[in-house]
Amino acid sequence: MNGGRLRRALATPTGIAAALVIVAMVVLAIIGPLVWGNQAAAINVPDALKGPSGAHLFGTDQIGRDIFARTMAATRLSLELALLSTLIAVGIGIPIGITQAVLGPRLRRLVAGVISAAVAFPGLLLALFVNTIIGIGATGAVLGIGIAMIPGFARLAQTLSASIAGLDYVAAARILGISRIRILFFHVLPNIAEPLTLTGTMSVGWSLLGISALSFLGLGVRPPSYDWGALLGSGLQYVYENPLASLGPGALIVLAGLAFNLAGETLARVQGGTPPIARPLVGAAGLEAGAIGQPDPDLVLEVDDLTVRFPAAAGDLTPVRGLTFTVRSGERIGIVGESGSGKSMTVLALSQLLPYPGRASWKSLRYLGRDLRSVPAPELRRLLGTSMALVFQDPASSLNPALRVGRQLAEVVQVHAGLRRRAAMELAVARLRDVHIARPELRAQQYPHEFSGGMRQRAMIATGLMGQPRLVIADEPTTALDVTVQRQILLLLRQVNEDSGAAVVMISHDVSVVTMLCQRVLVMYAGRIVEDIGTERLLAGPAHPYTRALLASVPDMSTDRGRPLATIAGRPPALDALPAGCAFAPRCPLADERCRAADPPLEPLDGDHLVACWHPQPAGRPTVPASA
Amino acid sequence: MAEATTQIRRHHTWLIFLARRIGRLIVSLAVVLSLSFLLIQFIPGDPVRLALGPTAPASMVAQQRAALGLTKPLVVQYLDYWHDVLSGHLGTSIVSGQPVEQIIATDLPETAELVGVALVFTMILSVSIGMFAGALTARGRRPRLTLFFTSVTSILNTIPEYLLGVGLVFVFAVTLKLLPVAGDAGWQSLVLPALAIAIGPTAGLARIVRVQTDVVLSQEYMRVARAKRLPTRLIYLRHALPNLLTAALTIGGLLLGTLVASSVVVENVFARPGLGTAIVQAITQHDYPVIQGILLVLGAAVLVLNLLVDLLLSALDPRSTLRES
Amino acid sequence: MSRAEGVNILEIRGLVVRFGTGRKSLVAVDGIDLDVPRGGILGLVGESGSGKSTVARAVVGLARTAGGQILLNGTDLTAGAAERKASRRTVQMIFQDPYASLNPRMRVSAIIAEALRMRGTGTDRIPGLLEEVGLDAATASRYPRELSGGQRQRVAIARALAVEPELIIADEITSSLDVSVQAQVLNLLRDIQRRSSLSVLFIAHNVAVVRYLSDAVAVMHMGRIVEAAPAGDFFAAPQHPYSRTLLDAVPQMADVAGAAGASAWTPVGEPSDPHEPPAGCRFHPRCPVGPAVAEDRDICRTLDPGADAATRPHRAACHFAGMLPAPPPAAISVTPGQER
Repeated sequence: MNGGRLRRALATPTGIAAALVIVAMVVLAIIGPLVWGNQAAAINVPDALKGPSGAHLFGTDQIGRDIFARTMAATRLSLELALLSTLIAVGIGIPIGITQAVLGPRLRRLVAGVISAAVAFPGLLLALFVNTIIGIGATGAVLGIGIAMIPGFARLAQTLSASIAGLDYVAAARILGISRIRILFFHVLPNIAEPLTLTGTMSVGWSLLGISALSFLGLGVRPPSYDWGALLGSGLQYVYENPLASLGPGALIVLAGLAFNLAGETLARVQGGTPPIARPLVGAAGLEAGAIGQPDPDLVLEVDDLTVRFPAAAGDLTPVRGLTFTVRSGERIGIVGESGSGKSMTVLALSQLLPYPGRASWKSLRYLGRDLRSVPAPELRRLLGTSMALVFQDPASSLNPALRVGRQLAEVVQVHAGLRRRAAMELAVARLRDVHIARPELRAQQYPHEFSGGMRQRAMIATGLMGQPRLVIADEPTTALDVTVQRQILLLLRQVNEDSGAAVVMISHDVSVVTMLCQRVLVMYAGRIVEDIGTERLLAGPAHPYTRALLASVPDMSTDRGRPLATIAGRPPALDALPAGCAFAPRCPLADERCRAADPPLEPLDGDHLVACWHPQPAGRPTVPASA
Repeated sequence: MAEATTQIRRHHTWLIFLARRIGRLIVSLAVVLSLSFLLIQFIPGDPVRLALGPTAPASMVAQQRAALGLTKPLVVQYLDYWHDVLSGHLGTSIVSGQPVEQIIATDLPETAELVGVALVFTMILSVSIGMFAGALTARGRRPRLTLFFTSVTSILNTIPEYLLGVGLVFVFAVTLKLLPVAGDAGWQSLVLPALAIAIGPTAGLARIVRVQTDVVLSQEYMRVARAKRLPTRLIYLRHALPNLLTAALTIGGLLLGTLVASSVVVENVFARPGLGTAIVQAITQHDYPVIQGILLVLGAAVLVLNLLVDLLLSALDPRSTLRES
Repeated sequence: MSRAEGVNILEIRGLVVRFGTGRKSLVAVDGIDLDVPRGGILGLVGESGSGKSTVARAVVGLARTAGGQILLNGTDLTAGAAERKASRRTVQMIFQDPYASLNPRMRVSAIIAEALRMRGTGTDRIPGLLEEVGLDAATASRYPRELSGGQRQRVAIARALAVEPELIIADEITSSLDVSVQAQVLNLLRDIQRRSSLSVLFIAHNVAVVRYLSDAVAVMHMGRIVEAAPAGDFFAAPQHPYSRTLLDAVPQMADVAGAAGASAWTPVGEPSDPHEPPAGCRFHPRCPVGPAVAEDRDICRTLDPGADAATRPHRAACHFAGMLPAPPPAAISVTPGQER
């Protein structure tokens, strides 16, 4: 196992606790019989059935033996048996599951079917079956529980190796002609070892519980041997007189079981996942919404210095840093940026949907002339629910798979406008028709999985049309769609804009798509707007070097086939490693000392064309040659 | 025209799905039956001698062997077994001489009652607690609550049912003298055993439901529901719950087997009449026909119940009627 | 095995690939013919569900064929395991997802060494390969998780080149990358292809990228090839209505907002269900000049135009190929002199 993970697990409180208990148990198992062996066997009938005392911590049993001593001494056998049966399950189950990967399809299906059926069968019954055959006793119990756990491991190993076998790097190995056996050992096995080890650790706990159950019933370990389960079982007979006689060994069963389970879970949790989030950001509620000046009635959206912050252990991440822009009524603007530019976070912040623990702050954020923080909650809900339409990227996951499509549209007006169900559904059908979905009455009764991708996206747009939309925010609405469908959606957005007068804000990584729909483009880089420019001027020649490079590097139908594509050297900066000064400077051919030292503000270059650059390029100048 | 064919095709697919599942069930039942038949055959040594004890006269042993049909060829025995089971005869107890099906007929309802109560308790409590906890702790909120919840459920899930049973006995019956401890006296004697069976799985399932709630709440369609600014109640009950149920029911279905197994153990703790006490007694006494019969019935019950859960799940999930599992 | 020095390194004839059985079956590839010119790039373009990735998988042996032939240097790969085995080093593939195409537990050097071992060459070629794909030598000791998407794709390319193949299949290799990185990878592929005269089957849904790279183009729709022609001819005058809708839908920078409305070449209706493809021409329910729109085109509903496609310009699978109105001149262009 990856040493790093083990170390990380040991750094957590649960990891430490589990490790300590396990170590203590192992020590106890080794020294138990040595230290307490004699005491455990010492019969002392006059002392029989005494309760807990200084001499006998757990009291004595029917023939006067010290129960505490017996419990301590039983550690070895209990753990040994648990370990043994785990080994049986792991040693037989995992190979069965793995070999699935090398079997032919028919045999694989047969084995898979057998495993599935066996997994559904309760393990204890299987254990009883084996126990009956082998005979009552420790051997029977170990084999019983061990065999009962085989299907579970086989199934796990099978599922894991199947999922690995479907990955591209295994396909690449097969194309290279590497033998199936080699693939199994070098590609599949190393990548499933960790989850298997985790489950193995936890199943020591399960084995312990299972064998103890059998011993408790008298079907497992038999006198003169005894494990915790047997002690618990015999202690049950006089539970009224001395409950500790059974609760004592019981407590150790629980402790050991917990320790192994916890160990497994902690290891699973520290799998290089999300960095633990420190304390939530204190006092991050936006800077006081002092309305600076009067709201402009023609503006749908006024954003001034919008910032989004996510607290993280190593320092806060700010995917959005001081955005300022406006959206006029009926305008169509596009926000363009690559991954990491902060465009999606901007959308979430604007629509008040930031995921926890993100916090947005701003100098001014006005929607339809009203500061969002000053609108009381119920009114805000209705306002946003009926006038702000949102269209997200993946139509496959935007619609709730468990509900009919019509219902999902109708509820908007049922909740916000108080419409009765029938009226709401009629409206929903009408809107589906408006977005050119054929046979809308039928479609409204269907579930999302019966819609194609393009239809789902149109249904999402229709949802936004249920109210009186003033603003449509579409986050990569066509990225997941085929190009012919993409055009339809863009035309639909255009139509919605013209018919209803709603403004449209479209976010995309694809500049050409944005220019098809939008009149104005905001270019984002590393959380800032670097250029705010009208589309015509954009096509004539933008001012910011990044925008120019972006335009140059995207092949279109008139790209010169004789020359290499223009590229932008390097990569976008990581959010937690932003350079001082202009974030694009490391990649910009025009960067100089000033650029590296100071971050240029977004300022008007010419009328309503804004640029954040110390060296903006005049329009019409040939594209700065970027490195190839 | 197209809708009609789609409808027909949908029904057709569902029927095929049903037929396949029932086919699989029959095969599994056949396997269980065969295994239960083979139980006696696998015993090393003489099963009858083991059952009757070393002091029984040889003539009695021989008589029992003949009565059990052990002298006939294996294939004949197998076919006889099939014939007997299908006509409702599950053999005769070596120890008591009672027909096994009679023993089962008296004990099965008791066990079924216990498992049923435990199941209902588990499902209702775990889904509601899990969902509530999930809503409160989604996406890393309230980490201390998450820790508390996870710890408590872990511990409860790890405590074996027999230990819980003993503990419950001690607290409620001995100390507080509120509820009966053993035997079968109306609904009161159902409470403690059902609790003993149900508490562990409830905790385990509640954990899973909590995690699943977190997963569901992070889905895009939940974001869309929030974007519609629907009231919170609607968001959870109409949008989140149906998607949660599928996962909860799937796990719940798997739990069925565990609950049945737990009932076997817990009945012994509370000395409740049922298949659990019967089978343990039978194993101790080497009464093989009884063991065979009970394993067969319990195994078949679990398989049939699993099928019902599968069918319920596919009826609930709108997508699965078009899917073959 | 003697190498036939044919014009085409890869010739596919009548390939059929089926998934599932009986009621659930889906014919992903339904009898296609395809030629990849030796030393050239064939761009295979199509939307999702067209079957183009399945073609790739069939060529490299990852998908079982139900009919047809795959002739690589004259040898039919579908004939048997021996033929398939012998072709191992001749054709290699690069995959779409840079995060799934490298074993996370193997260092870059191990990944490339494994490929070199199949060739029989030693690990001394590793630095050279890394340089060839524009990575510096230190990358060899890194794990994939330490590399960016673009760097991983380069490693995948290096792995493919390690066995010195003659044909490379690139399956949507830039679709998962950021725009600025995409250009880097495309340039790299172009350079390598020119330097070593590699043949490339370039699969993509992005028509502009295909136009930039390809010498020849084939268009796929619902498991069939609907048009195949040299790139210059294709982009100057596409013959199949589906090709026209594809080209029309490509967003173009010159298409200033406000100018374009619904065009004559937008597909009609909704996408068809691949499990129940339409009879006759598979595109007919959506064809903007087909029976859904025009009165006299019933033949499209009943007769499959693929049967005699070879007789038509660009082997177009359309009864009315050659009779489409010429596209507006400003829309699509190929700089004269760049054709091959």
